[in-house]
Amino acid sequence: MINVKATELNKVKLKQVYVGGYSSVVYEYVTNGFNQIKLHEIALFGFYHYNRIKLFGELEGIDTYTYGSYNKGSLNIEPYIERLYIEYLHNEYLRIKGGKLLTPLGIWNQIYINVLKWTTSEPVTIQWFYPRFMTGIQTYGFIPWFKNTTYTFFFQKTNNLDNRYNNVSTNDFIGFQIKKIFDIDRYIGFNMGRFYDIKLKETSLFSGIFGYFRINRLYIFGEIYGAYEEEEHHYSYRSKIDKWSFYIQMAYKLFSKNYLTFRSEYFEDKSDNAYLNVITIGWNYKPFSKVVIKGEYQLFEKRQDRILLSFAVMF
Amino acid sequence: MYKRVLIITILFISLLFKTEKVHSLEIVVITSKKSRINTLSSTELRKIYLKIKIFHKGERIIPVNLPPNSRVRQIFYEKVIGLDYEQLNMYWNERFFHGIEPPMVFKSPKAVLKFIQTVPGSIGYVPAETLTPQIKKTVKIIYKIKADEKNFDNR
Repeated sequence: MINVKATELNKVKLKQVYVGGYSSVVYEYVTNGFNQIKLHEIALFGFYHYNRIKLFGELEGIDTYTYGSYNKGSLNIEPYIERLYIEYLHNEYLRIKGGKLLTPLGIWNQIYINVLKWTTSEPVTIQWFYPRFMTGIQTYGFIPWFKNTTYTFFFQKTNNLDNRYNNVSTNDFIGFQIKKIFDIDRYIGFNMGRFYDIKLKETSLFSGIFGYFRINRLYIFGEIYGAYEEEEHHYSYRSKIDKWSFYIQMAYKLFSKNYLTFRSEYFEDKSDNAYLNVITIGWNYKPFSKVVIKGEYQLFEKRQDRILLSFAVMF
Repeated sequence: MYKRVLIITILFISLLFKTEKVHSLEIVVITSKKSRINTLSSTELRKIYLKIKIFHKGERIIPVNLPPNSRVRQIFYEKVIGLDYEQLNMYWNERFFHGIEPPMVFKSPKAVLKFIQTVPGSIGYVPAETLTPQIKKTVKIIYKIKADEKNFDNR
């Protein structure tokens, strides 16, 4: 709050620097006996506005402390650069970001930190189809000719800045997304992209659709992706491989600050003839505006089930 | 004796039919006279206050709020934004993570008016009665909200 008298307002300068952060502790128990507790994430971010320019930086420590059945206490205090970019806001239709960014696709990848997502676990759908972070250029904004429709276009032609915790190592990534917004809690979208995986030496062409709806107390959203891959290292099997996956996530507000969560997810890789089928049932309790306590049970088909508990804060 | 009974009866009946005083409150959304904004729809206003829309006719828009306990703010959010406290918290946590901060908060309608008069592109909501003829020369009304309020506290 601008805490001054009206007569002194001319002394007030617009606040231009913001600092925040988030952290979470996660306990995991698998029905084969494996268990661990870890300080999963601890991050500090800040941004600075100067007219139409914004600078954003974030440092994060991942799995800073872990203790469990296979690990009697390990410390990892080396931070890494999660995001670092400069943004220029030209107008409603054109905004440009450059640097290390969260890949601007879908729903879940935009809210992947523990305090923002409904469940502690993540659907496989968003882990195996595109790099979650990119280092490149992104342009985005509203499309002038279509009401309430946004576009995003991005490309990367270099190695990632600090790629330690990225799910894919790439130096060549391009994609776009179109999103139709009916309201802030009702939208649908389509995206498409292509990237080269340096480690697996394969090129992947992926495409997805997603949707988010809130109907009174019920939040429901989901994403579905399919990928078409070409693997260089399979000389004897130089072919096209398909994989696809979906998840549907629901959260129902039972009473104030308490939500019942449910997710169904499926993944299939046709080249390995493998699939994963998971149902997640959980509870999400938000005692304060920036604090979340979650518990969930994950039922895996033909695998060990899992229990996850977490405590997450944002500041 | 009859007179006393009559007075007590009238008093008793008047208590039974006691009605609360209802004020008709008008809230106005205003901007500087120099601004390119002339009128806004409630949808546009909602997008501006949720920072989905940050430009209007090429002009950067700066929405400002009154404190969360202000009844004027509560009516404005109820009539225009349409999200409850929990939904707004979730929304702004997510936006803050992406480097977008919620609108600035000013202590009083007086402070909002002063800010709007000083900063081009800023918009805010205040009770209509705070607009004196002097202030009306420097600001323009771009949206109006009418509400019936009991025991209204003008903050």
